[in-house]
Amino acid sequence: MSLILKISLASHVILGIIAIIFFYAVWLNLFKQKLNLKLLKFSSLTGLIAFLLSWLTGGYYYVVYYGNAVRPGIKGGQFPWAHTIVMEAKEHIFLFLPFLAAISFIVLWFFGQTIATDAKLKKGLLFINAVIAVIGTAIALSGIIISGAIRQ
Amino acid sequence: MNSSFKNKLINAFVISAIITLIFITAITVIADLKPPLKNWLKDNFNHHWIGKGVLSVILFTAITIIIALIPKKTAGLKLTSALLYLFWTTVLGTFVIFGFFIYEYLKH
Repeated sequence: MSLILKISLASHVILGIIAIIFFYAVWLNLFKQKLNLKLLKFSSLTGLIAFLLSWLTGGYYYVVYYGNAVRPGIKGGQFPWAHTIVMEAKEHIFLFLPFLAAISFIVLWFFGQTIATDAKLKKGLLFINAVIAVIGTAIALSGIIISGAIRQ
Repeated sequence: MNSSFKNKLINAFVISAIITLIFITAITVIADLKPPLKNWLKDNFNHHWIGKGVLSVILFTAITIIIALIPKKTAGLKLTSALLYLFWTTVLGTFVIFGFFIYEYLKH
């Protein structure tokens, strides 16, 4: 594997984890009585940018290297389901995250002041950030399963 | 930006995200069941996954613009309801995609 592919894969993982951490920060901070709007806006923006960059770097590795060099090994190995179920689901469910992150960012940036007083809107935003954090975590764990299957 | 247009624009973003997530779920399942669609994506975007991503971004942008330009006082849904619909679309889409690939694995 070339250096650029190694950097792409490492960046994809690190940026994905950064994005998840920042969306956990948004989710958990929305539970507070007194909202720190600056922190919420900063976290949603950072999380969104990290997801977009993770998409690009992971996409480069996946399209250029994974399909030809890694996938056949997994499908022919002890755990073919690691590709057929886990990777296939991961790569497609991941596509939800940048759009959800964009919505979290847009609502916080345009309606930040309203959220503190509108309990229903706050609840809606809580649900969106919860689903981003939970799906993001599941996708990160899927990556560990796929990496494990490559080593077998 | 006046308040009414701001509300309409944000509703447009959320409704567009709901439609985009439904599109991603649908194209994921249909392209796997219909090889001509998967081949079309490969031929036009180099890889089916790139095609799905590019089409999703185009769809998201186009629908947001169309809804934002519809000459109505409101965009149809209240923001709070739209966010909850987006949440449930995400949950459902996740289960459909995951369930579909389990089914595909067990079938072969």
